[in-house]
Amino acid sequence: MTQAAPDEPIDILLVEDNPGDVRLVIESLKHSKIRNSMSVVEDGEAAMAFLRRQGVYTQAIRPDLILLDLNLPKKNGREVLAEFKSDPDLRRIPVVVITSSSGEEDVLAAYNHSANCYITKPVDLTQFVRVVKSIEDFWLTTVTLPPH
Amino acid sequence: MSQTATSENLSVAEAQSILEAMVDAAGVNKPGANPSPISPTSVVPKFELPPSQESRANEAHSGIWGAERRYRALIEQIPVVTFMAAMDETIHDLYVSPQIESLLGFSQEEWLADPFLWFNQLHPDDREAWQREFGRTCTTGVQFRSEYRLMARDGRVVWIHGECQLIRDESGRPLFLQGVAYDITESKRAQAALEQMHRDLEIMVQQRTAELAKANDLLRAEIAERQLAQEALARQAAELVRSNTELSQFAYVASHDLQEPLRMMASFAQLLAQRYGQRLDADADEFIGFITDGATRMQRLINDLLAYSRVGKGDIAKVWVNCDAVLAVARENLRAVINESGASIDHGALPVVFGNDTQLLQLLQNLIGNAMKFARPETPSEIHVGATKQNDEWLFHVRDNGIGFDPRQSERIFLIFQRLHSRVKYPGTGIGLAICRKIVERHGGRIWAESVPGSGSTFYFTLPAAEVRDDPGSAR
Repeated sequence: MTQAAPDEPIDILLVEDNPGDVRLVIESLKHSKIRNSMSVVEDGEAAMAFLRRQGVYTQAIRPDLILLDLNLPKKNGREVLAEFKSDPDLRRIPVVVITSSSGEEDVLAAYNHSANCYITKPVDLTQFVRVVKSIEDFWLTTVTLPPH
Repeated sequence: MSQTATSENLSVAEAQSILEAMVDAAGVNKPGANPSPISPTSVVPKFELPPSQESRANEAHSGIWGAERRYRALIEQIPVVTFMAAMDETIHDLYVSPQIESLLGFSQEEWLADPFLWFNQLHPDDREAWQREFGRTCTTGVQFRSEYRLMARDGRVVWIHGECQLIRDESGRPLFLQGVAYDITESKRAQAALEQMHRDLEIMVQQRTAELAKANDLLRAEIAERQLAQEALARQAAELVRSNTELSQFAYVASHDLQEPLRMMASFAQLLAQRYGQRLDADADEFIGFITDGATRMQRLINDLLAYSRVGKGDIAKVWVNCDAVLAVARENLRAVINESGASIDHGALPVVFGNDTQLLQLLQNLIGNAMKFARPETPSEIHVGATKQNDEWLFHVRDNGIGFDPRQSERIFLIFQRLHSRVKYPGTGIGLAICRKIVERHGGRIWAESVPGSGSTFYFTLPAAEVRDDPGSAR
């Protein structure tokens, strides 16, 4: 099922503290079929402020999809996930946990806190690009995102 | 002891004077004389008495002699010496019963002939005491009662129990004494023996007590030492646990945190190649190749390190594991490689053990995988897996017909990241066997390897055999 309004760009919130990874995601989505607009925050506190449109983020848009790293400064990704998925206003927004860890405990914790899916960042660039592409194919193309 | 009156009631004074006369007549009192013992059969001179008193006297006479016979019999039969001694300037015996002879070996005559004999026979060490006690008797009138030694004629020491009583006149002047003496040598000997035994016992008890006290002290010291050692051991064990936990946590965290910079290196090197590869020369391509290669290898090493640290992490869940089933899963996991290399895996019956099924799978898979990896060129792997029971453990073996290894390296191959071949020839980081060893050791077993280079290798490991309970539990 495709998006209702193909012209409207998909708003993605990337929560990632590593500038290299930020760059990789942006590069990977550069030639995406779907128009998308990426916002980036670098820590868990900023992520919550953005989602709640508080502080400097009063003008923030509500994202259609969140890409969430787990190892973040200030507030880590697990806490963000827990907080945000228990907020009735925010919890519909799909969250793709995309993180370096492949550890079982991390995977379990993420799903326990209602992450929509969990992806381990591949080392290989080609793989990385493929993963981001598959996110694009699935979440931006195949899936019906919840309305605002 | 007053004189008993005869059947005729003579006064004491009358009886006494008659007695004295009789004794005189018997000549007992005369020193130097040859006294004959008073005997009922000896003829006693008749007294000259006035006729008026004669019959009465004769009756009294026979009465007295009757009594005398009775008392004599008594005195001479009883098993004691009776004696009577006068007390004038010295004490000298007037009468001593015949038992003196069996007691000391002196006859009555001898005894009485020498007034000093009895004192001479009194043991020198006892004389002072005797005199003291006798003196007390004289002054206080208390009956004399003592134990002292007399020397027999043949030199024997005879212990005597002597008792005597003082007879005084009306004015209280001691007249004579009479008493008994009997042999208590045996009794004394027995008493001395008993006392000696007591002393000996006392000494033994003291010795034994001292020995026990010493042994106790030693024991106490040993216990204290043991306790210290135990405490030290407990501390060491706790330290070890803490250190191990720290180590595996460190390994886990380190591996984790190393992933990210690694990805940066690898990803951007690749991006570089992709985007600028055409614009750069062959050297640049090669350099970029080395960078990505390095990153990829590092990635694998970190993954292996993580796998290794996970083997040691926390308490492993143990269940009853059917090793036959585990082997089947391992074969399934390695199916592609098996088919590709044409390997054949043979096995004997494998036991049920108590352990962690995931780790045991990893163990078998690593060993079989290795066996196939290190096959001889052009020679399909023939692998045999088996187990035998040895005392309280199972001895497993994984035998192959591969390239083998130098037996001198048999320890090294189990070290982390140690390899015997170049990476190009035989891929791998060199962690497989280190993981195997860690798994085996966590289960309480040992692992080692033997090999004939060019022929093959056999890897052995032990796992503790446990009593299979009623239900063999979860097998895979």
